[in-house]
Amino acid sequence: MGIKAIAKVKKSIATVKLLVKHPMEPGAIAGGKKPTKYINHMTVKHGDKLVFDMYPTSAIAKNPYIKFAFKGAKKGDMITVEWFDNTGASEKKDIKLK
Amino acid sequence: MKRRKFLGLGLSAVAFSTVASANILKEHPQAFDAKSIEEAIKGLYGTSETLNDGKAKLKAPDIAENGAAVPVTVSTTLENPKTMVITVDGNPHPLVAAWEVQPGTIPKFSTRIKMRKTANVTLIVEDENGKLHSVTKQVKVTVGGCGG
Repeated sequence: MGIKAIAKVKKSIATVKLLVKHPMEPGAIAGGKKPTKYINHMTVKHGDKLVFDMYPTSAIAKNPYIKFAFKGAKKGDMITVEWFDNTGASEKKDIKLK
Repeated sequence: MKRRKFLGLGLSAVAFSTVASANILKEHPQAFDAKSIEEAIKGLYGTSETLNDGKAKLKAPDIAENGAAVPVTVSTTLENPKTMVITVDGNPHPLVAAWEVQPGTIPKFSTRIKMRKTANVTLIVEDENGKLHSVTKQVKVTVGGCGG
């Protein structure tokens, strides 16, 4: 597991690229034998303000990549990325905007 | 009197929509397990009627050599979209991912999706009035990428 991020602010718009280490294993959904394990909720906050919620499925590629942008940001602001998977695992990371 | 009634209606509508968009996975789990796009969209929104009016934008390759990671970018020209959903009609579960967008968030997301075979990728965007806008693009897949 692990969350990598590149987060930059330009003219108050933050652009963030996330790479999350996760198998995103569909298992029986795609006729496989491995246990199904995939992120089904990811939430991003800018300070206390919600930026978006994403609900992935096992049809998101292994080690999910997500790029997004939001307004009203400045360098040094913190964002929080948190994900949860269908097996109850989760991870949370604070990222500083550069 | 009429005005008061109208305001009351407005308030209850706002309260309802806040609840409805709190967590679309928890509210509509069946949509995520649906076997057809129509079932998935109906499960989420109660209707599968969409407008193909150019307001939903989808960027995806014409040909994907590797179906295990097909890059897609979804966006919209709509002012205050509430939700955005990607579906792929050739996958066992067509609903691939859904986003709940907050005001101030630029409604544009890039990610990589799995495609089992050549199929239609569809983006559905729900606007602030609950109307659905869609766009579809066929992506040819050389090597499928859904296997476990």
